Amino acid sequence: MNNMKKFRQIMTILLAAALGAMSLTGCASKQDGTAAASAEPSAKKIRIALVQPMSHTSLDQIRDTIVAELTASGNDFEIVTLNANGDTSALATILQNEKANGTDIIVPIATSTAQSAKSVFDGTETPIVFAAVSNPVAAGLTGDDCKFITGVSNNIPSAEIVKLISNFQPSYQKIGFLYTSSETNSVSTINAAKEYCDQNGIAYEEASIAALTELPAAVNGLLSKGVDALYTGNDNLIASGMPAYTDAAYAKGVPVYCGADSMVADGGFATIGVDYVKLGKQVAAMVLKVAAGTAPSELPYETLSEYAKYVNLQAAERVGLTLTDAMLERYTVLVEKDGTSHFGK
Amino acid sequence: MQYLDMLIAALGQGAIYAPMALGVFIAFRILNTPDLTIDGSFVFGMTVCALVTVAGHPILGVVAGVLAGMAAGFITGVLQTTLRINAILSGILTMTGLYTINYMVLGGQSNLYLQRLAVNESGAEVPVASQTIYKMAAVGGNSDLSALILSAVIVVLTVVVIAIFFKTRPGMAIRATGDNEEMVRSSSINADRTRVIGIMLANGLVALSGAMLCQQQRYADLGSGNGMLVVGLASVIIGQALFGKRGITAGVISAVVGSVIYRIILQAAFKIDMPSYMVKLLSALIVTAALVLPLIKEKVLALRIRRAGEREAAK
Repeated sequence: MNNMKKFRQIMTILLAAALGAMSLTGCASKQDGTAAASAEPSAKKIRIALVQPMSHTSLDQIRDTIVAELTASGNDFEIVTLNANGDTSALATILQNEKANGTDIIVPIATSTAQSAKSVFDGTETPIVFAAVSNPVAAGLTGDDCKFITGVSNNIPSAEIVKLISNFQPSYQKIGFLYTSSETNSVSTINAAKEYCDQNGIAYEEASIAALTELPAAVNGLLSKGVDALYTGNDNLIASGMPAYTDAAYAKGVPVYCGADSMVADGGFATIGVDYVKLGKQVAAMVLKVAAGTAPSELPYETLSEYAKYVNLQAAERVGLTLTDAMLERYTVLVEKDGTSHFGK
Repeated sequence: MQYLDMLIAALGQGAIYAPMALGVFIAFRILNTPDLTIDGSFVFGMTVCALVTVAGHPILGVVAGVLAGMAAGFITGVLQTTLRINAILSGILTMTGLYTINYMVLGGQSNLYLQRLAVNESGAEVPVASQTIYKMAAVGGNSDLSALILSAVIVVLTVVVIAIFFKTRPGMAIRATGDNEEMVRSSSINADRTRVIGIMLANGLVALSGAMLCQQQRYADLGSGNGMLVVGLASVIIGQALFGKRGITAGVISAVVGSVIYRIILQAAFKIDMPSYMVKLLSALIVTAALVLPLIKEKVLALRIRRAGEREAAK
């Protein structure tokens, strides 16, 4: 009797599950049907799937730009955007669905998404065009087993940072690097920059802080060692203490270069960084090439061709730097002389 | 064919997360302990496995991952028993500490791909992919299928070992500790020790999932543990809704089946063209439904008994 009841309960659940599954597959196949019917006269639409691990201002900006660019290209693409919403275990599920759907080009955004795409599409010939991977070599996206993988890296090369400084101070002598020791992003930027300086015979000093209270002392320590340019990467802690940083530095006439536009808005002098709209456009251009038939193996991965360059004119005045038009070429003024900020507009 | 491929993929993913569901089952159901170490020990199994795999020992990597998870469980267990720290807090403490440990294991970075740099004939340094258990098992063209078979073999072996273990004396002691700790203490069993062993076992299984995932997706990422506990709980609850509360062997199997069904549901949810941000709400609804199901069953049963009673009384 009891067994009978349990059996019936299990059957009810199974039936419900089956019905659910049927309704799901039902509507899915219906969509497939209509798509096939409309596409049949011409060639099959090229299906492009954009996959992102979570929602985040910069990731969303990349996705929206790629979609806009692809739509504007005039090609009749079938574009789908998918989001794992922070559940990394869903990435593989999403990608496997796309594999089963027969997606023609997959565009994974961010490192782990690209790596998952590589393992899911392993053995197929589906082109993968990644966006925003900071180190494609370390991420395993280059090499012999990556014939169908290409994309755009969002790494800012150290050479660009040095170029940023020499643009405004052609005769600088020594760079001072300041960072928070516990912030990996910031530390790795500085480490790469130090390596670059060593290779190119550029003099530098460095100082690290563990708390904001150490900031003025660290800045003054660097200044006393004769640095005439200060650089700090995308450092969250120091970003929150920009007034103290710039007060100490500008009093000695030393400009502060930084790794984020928000830091320039808060008093920093100039920055070079990732412009996610430009990144998206570069990725879209690559996708269009692949869609037109270029083999991904003929397209090596690219670094950014254009960076976001911002300058703060008020800071320039405080430091006492005179800026020529040639210096300001390609730079966007983020803060005007009178302190008017264009940040976030 | 498309649906078959998707089913194979979902089964493969379900099998990879099955040991984790089993670990959650042991912690939450058998030991009656809310163990929040899981998000951390999953990644710990992953990072340690990655390190050993990159060194060229994929099988040893899985073993090392499991041992790492057990070590994490040991810490939580000691915090709970010897140091008498609240169970939930113990797990949170270990999980928080593990973040730093995992970071250190990966060499101060948040992501490690299973490859090493080798010098090729022309003298340039090129990345060479590391050997993994899934590559070793790959036969024929369908890598998803061979991955599924390998994962399934590991899961079946694990289930058999765990089911047998819980019939042995130490296994029984762990079950008894979860059921009635006072009784266990009064029968002069060291309840603290059985509890620590139970938590170690649970986290070892969670780490096994992490190690398997690392080898299958070929990278370790510090973000991989996010939300694992919820996935594990959902799997256990779905399994229980199907199997009901029965013996220990059925319980162990139900956790595994729950994990697979969770993946199928997830895959179906992503398959239908709804906005992908809806999936979180959907999974919350699925878990809620599975949780409420036993209560509804109970209410229906109570109603039937009352009706029957009323009929009896009317006679």
